[in-house]
Amino acid sequence: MSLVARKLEAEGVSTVVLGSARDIVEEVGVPRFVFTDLPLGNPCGPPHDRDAQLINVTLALRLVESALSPRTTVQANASWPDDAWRQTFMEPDSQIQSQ
Amino acid sequence: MPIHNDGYDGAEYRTTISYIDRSRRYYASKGFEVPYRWAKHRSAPFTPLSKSLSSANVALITTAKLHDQSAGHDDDPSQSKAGRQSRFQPFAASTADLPELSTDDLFWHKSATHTDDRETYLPLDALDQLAAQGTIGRVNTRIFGVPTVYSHRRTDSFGEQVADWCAEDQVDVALLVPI
Repeated sequence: MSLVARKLEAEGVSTVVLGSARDIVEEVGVPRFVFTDLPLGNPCGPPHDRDAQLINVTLALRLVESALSPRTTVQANASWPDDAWRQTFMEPDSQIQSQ
Repeated sequence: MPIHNDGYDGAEYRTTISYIDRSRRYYASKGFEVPYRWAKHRSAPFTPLSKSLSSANVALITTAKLHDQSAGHDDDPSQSKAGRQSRFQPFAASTADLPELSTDDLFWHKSATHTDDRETYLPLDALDQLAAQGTIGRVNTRIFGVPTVYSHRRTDSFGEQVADWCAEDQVDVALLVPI
């Protein structure tokens, strides 16, 4: 998806990525990125949290207007009830795998 | 010395997950000898918005799949390369008659969350709200879907297709939401 952002931007469309895999997006290198530090699957905000989702989407679109240079990252104020998910994703020894 | 960790467990480590590091370790533990090479660039293109956000046409781009194309993975060895390539193609869909989308075969944290609330990955209601309040000009009448595949070259070609669609629709801003 980050490669698509680069392609669109090169073709004259202003882009912003709203996502949760910070290192992947930043390593690929995109024009504008809003990072939501949540489990993969809910990049716009926690399920059924309409306020957070609207704020994050607004943040992303405002960034299109305000960013002065490429590779601008903004971190959203995302919150999740606990941090256990950080320990379980793709850990080789974990019983809990994504897929 | 006081510990400022706001209740975090494991505060001695970086809290933000490196998905590149995790996937390298994970696939190495499964016997894959050659790690996946993520695309990396030192620079990025930049197109300043040529009009005000309040008059811009905003298109949403998703990695969700059309429901009838949802089965299977890009690396499924039971399918031929040609079969996979014809199956995994970008799509354009009208927001007025949105087809059923699926996230089942996508790579996300299934033990920690769910995608039952579509707005968490396809924020069309939020965009409609922003258009209604005048923050953006309008929501494009089509969304665009881009399949997640391993090949950088194929992903670039998907980008070219979406760029053509954006030109047809006179899209000013693309909001890309990878699941």
